[in-house]
Amino acid sequence: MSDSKEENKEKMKRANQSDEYKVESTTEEFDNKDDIEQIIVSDSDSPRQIDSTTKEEEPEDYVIPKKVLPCHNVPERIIIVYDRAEDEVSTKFELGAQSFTPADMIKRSLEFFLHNKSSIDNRHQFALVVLNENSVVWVKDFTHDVKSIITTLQDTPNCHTEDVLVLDKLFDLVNSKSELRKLDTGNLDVPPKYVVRILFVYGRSFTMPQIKNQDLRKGIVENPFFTFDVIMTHEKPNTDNNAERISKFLQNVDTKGFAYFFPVARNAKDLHIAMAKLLGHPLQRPCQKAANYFINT
Amino acid sequence: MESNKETLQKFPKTIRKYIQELWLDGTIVLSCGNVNIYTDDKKPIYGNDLSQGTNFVVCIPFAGKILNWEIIFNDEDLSLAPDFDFIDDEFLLDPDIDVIETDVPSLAKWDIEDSKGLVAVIKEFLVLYKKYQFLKLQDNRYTRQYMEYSLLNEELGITQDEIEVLIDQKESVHFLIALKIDCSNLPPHAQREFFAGGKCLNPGGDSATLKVTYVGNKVTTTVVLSPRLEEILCKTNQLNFPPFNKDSGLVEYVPLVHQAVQNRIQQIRNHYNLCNNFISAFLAYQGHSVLEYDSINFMKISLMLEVENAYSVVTITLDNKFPQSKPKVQLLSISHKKNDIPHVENLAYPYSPKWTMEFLANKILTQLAEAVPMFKEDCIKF
Repeated sequence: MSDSKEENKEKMKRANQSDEYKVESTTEEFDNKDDIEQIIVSDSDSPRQIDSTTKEEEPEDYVIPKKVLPCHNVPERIIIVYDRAEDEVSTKFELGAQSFTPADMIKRSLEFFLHNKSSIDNRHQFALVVLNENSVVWVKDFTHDVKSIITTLQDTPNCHTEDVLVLDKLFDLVNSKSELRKLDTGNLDVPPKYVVRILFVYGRSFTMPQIKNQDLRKGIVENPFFTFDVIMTHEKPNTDNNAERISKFLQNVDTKGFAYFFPVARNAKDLHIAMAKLLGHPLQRPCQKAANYFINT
Repeated sequence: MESNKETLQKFPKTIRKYIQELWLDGTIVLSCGNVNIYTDDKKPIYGNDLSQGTNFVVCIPFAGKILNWEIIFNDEDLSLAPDFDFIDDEFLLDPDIDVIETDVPSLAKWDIEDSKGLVAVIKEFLVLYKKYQFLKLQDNRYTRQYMEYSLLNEELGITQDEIEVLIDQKESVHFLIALKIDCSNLPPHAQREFFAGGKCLNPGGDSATLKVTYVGNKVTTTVVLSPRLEEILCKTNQLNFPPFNKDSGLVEYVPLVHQAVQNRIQQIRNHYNLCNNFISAFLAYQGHSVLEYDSINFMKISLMLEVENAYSVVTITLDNKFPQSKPKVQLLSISHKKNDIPHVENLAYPYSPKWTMEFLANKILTQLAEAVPMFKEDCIKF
């Protein structure tokens, strides 16, 4: 146990030294607790698996995918996929002296996302999809009106969870509601009229998400103008819950390598920081691995 | 105003191609506006088929006025060359066959297959028309205007192709002079509205013309810019032209006006370059933390910054008066609200319009290194 702990600390040190990959050790998760091997040995940014058995990847081995799309800030159509299910047993978020349920915390962080994204550029549009116990429902069409989405979110009650959640309907909705298909993917030099992004927020630690129709998923995910960003909050990963498996599954929905993936435990600050990083425009933001938010002077 | 599509539907297919070519050719006249078609809906059309019209009026903008020439196709044989009626004009009132043979060859040898046939005929007629007007100009009544015209030709090298002259029935003289503006320096710009009401708003390229009208002793001059050019050049403020000086005449005025337009184009280019350099400087320093930036006009950039465990979204905005006006730097909170929206603060920082863009970017970032942690404290207080 202690050997691998040393190993991990060594790796963290090495990673810290490489320019390209700066490890942020800011969260409480990295106290010298025994569970350090189970949690990602780096900041909550990197799209790594929460898996106690896999070995740490060397930072140098990772290849940053090459961007082929024009870096234009075309208007975004962001589909916020909000998970309204709450696990029977869930730890609360602590923010200062107060504690919040995961649902409330997520709603709060989404408010910041919506307001800030809209003030960066008011051409962006947002739609709302809700994940129920076992269904995916389109709730709000694309709109510039951030307040209406926030109000709808605030009014959305929680629900229970089931063992499995099938996500196929989500891709059907992307096809039918987002006009992704109308974009011309033949000539990638010409900036598209808009890009489509899913901001998938998942709050369950026990329910396994499933995608049955892989062709449908592939067809959408491989579209150059589509991005599948994920932010998942979870209980502390252990053998009782499915946090690791869920994380592995959600990371692999995207195949192009430009999507962002944030697994966040019950740390309010991490959640808000991840939401803020998701403000980045898919055509202009750095790859998650290459992102570094320090000031360079 | 009916759309182009609606107009076309009034004519049989053979005629439609001629009309389409008329619309597509931007070199028929000097004017920024284009040639248009007018159909008199009240004229009776034989039979009930509304799509069998055979005549229409071509409205040609010329020297600031409009010439109305009626084109009449033979409704029994559409393959024959059309007839022309120069409405209310003595031009070619009784044309000689020889004149048509030599000067309007496209009409003499009318080719039914050539869709550009009608455009060619109109262009040839316009050459004759210009000669006809020029002859009128040589009358004793217009010695002054004739002199202006000659001077423009001799001293500025403005050829007959580059100037349209028209003397109307009230004996006012109209000139339309092409200002050969070099627009290659203009930054890329998309017109806000390219099509409106089914018509293209900017049919020709970017061009500018000087319209001069002599009514008795009074002279009025106006500069007319093509729609896209007008949009770009007058974005910030109206383009002011020096007043026309009667004594120095057109030969001195045309270069002045030309220079004013070129200066404005250069101004816009300079501003664009500066904004581009500014945003590029930020991308060089902070490309790895950029959220979004304006990639067309380079007037805005948003970054995410982390200083000593404090995080903030920072948006920097430039305006049209930059660098005279200071860029606006705003910090947006990612976790604290004020009045129901994320807490916002403007950054105070030293500024001089004379700094290089790299220096300015550096200054702003240095200031932000202090401001971000302080901003976090301010947010928590609320």
